[in-house]
Amino acid sequence: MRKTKFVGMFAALGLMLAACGQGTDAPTEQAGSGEAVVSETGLDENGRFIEARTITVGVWDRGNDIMGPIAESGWAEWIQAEILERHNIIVEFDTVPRWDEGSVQSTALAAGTAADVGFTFNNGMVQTMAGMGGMHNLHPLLQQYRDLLPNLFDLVGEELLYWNFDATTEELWSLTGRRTLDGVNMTNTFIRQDWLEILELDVPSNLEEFEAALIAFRDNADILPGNIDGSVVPFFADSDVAWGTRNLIDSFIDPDITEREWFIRDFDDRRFMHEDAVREATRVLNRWFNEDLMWNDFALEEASVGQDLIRLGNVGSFTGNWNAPFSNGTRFTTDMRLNAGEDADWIPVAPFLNSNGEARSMQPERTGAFAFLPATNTEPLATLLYIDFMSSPEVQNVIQFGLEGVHNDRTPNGGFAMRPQAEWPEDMQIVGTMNSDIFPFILGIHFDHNEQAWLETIAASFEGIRPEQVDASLELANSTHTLVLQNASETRAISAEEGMSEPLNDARQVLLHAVIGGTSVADFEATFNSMYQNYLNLGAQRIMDERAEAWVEAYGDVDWIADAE
Amino acid sequence: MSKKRKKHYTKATTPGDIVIVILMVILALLCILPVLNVLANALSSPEAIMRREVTIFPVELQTQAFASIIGDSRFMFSLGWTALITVIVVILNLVMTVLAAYPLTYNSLKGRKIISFYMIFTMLFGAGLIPTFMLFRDLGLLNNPLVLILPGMLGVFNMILMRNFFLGIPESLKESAEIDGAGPMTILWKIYIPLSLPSFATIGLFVAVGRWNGFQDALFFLTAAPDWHPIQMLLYNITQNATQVDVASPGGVSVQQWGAAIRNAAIVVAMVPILCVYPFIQKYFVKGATLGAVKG
Repeated sequence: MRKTKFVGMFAALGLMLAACGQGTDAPTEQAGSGEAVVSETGLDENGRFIEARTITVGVWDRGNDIMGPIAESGWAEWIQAEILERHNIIVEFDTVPRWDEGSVQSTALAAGTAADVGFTFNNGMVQTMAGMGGMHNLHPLLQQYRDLLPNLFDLVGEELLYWNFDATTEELWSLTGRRTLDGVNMTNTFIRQDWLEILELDVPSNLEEFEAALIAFRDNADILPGNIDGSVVPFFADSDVAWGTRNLIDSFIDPDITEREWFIRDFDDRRFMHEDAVREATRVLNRWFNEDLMWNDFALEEASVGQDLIRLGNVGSFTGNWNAPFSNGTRFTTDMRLNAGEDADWIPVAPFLNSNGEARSMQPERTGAFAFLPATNTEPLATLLYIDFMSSPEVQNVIQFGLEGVHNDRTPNGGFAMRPQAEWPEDMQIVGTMNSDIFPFILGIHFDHNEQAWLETIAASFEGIRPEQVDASLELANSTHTLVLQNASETRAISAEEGMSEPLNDARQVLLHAVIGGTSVADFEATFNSMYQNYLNLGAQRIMDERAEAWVEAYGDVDWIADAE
Repeated sequence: MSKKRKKHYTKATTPGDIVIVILMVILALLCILPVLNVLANALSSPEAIMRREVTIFPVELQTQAFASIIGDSRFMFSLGWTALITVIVVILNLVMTVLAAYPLTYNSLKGRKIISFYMIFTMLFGAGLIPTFMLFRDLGLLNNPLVLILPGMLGVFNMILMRNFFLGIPESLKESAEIDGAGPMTILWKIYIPLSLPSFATIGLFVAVGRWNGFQDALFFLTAAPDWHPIQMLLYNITQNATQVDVASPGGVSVQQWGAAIRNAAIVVAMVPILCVYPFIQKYFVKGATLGAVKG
């Protein structure tokens, strides 16, 4: 009897498992080979498919009310119409939540329902899926169809496209997009020009002068416009303090750093593996915090709270993107003037000098988001043609600046003067960084027109801001972001990095908050050493060690790529 | 030798009671004060919020934030939709729970132990998000509003609670009903259900709160159907768009800058329905808190 019960139970279990294992309409290529070979292009002499092809394209959606679903927007309709005419490709857009794009896309990839092309900042996810056979190897595709993708190669460049190429296995699982040099990642430090004038201070040109200005702001807060109950925030940084003090950290990095050393420490995009530089920068910040020269609540409040203080005119200085004071989104200047008077203004400064006495920062990451083609994609050529189409200058102009006569007017030299947002069509709002949500591959403002057109565009794009202010900030950013190192593209994938982004980011944040805001000046050294050792033990040291090995394997025992055999 | 005065305590009050009361007051304040802060922010001017003058009382009282929220058709539709699916899920859940639990109270049910094991087995581990996603894909539930209703129709834990509650009802009531000619469904309808109102209220409340606060299913399974997003999904997007620092484009806005007052008003409006329901079933909640407990 008991035996019968067991047999019956296992039979029921077996039936249950068998039922669960049956697929229905599941795609057959969930985790199969990623090597799709296209033997015929199917294109006519004009680059148009003879028979229409259908692809799905992932687009990011922020879920806000500005425009409604991006997949149903005027932009989507325009793109669908244009690419249908140009290449006879039917594009269907697949929405991905912007702030959860990594987790949602990884789920879809595992389930075999991902779009034919997706975009992500999480290249680790791409590598993981590729390891399970869930991605197309793009290297043979790019080799085979290179002549059909001129816009892609012109806009992004071969170096970036092959940024994640593994030379040992000849595998490329993702295309790296472009982040324009004139775009988002160049940071300036800004200081209140009106406060300097009231206190009769010179524009600071080094760290000592900058700190003296902060002290003067603190000690004379009651006479400064924008003070709240007689107090101000001399220097503002939010909880992402490594980003908000990037220029300061950069100033402590050896200006003669070798490409080898840079590669070994480059896993963290906040320079956090440059231990000595981080130590010295946080020593300064720790002193500022303890002397009330820095925002007290940087570790406690979200960034938007601090940004409100900037808009109120309560902040004396901050480090941010070169266009941060001017943009219509943050309204750091326009709102500040409403609250602290028309004379309130920002001036860009570069007081954080390196050991050579220069303000120099590494050329910002030139990489944008990553594009990937899941193994379930049966139209890789059509997909690459879509990316090429979106990379073309004409399309990029429309995506970034809108339609002429609707969103913008052309300047005499061919630039774009944006019309007020209120005049734009409801279903064609520019959302995200230059409408990047619909094509996240390219981040930042760019177009390859003449320089005058470029300057006119930039200057005319910020409502209520004098063009010379914009030019000054951009010029300073360009002049200080000049350290250029080659990308170590020949190195193999670093296994120690898998899954380590989030834990190391969290450890970084904890360390910074503790050593800056939770430690006295006297205890700084001991606290920093102890916590940084924990950071290394968590996995950072293993990553650096493996990177060092990978460098030697790829280039030999040299410090510069040019010296490799 | 000095005589020490003895402190006299009533029988109902001991030092331990005082400590417990103090701890409970602190706990209550930890729960209430953030809510008051949200409400105060919703009723304060944006300037006062930016100056960080708002604590638990409104500063520069204004009601425009609530007016904006109530006038936002998308927000109000989502609120109504969330209320609707909450009611539907609660009703369906209770029906399914009762229909699953009741037969298991009959010893004469063949395969009762196997069925019980089959259900309990599913509680031992979860398959995870990806198999769930694949299952919903195969069932046609992706980007389908039914994905907010159907998966929540039966919870095994609630079913066990209900079964145990049914088992606590005296067997003699059922026997006497059977003698009078009542069938199983009549016994269920006329005896078990009326006696099970506390359990219904408790399970219903948990299910309602879970559905009202849930948004993960919408995040993963309704990516292309934003019109059917529940209210918490809207709040999630509002909060993410406000707190994630994204670089603004020069010619436009990168995120919709929902003011802090409006964000807080949205949170308050989303809380109100559940807060209104709870007092009416609170009495059942206390009674039902020991559902399934062993009875002597």
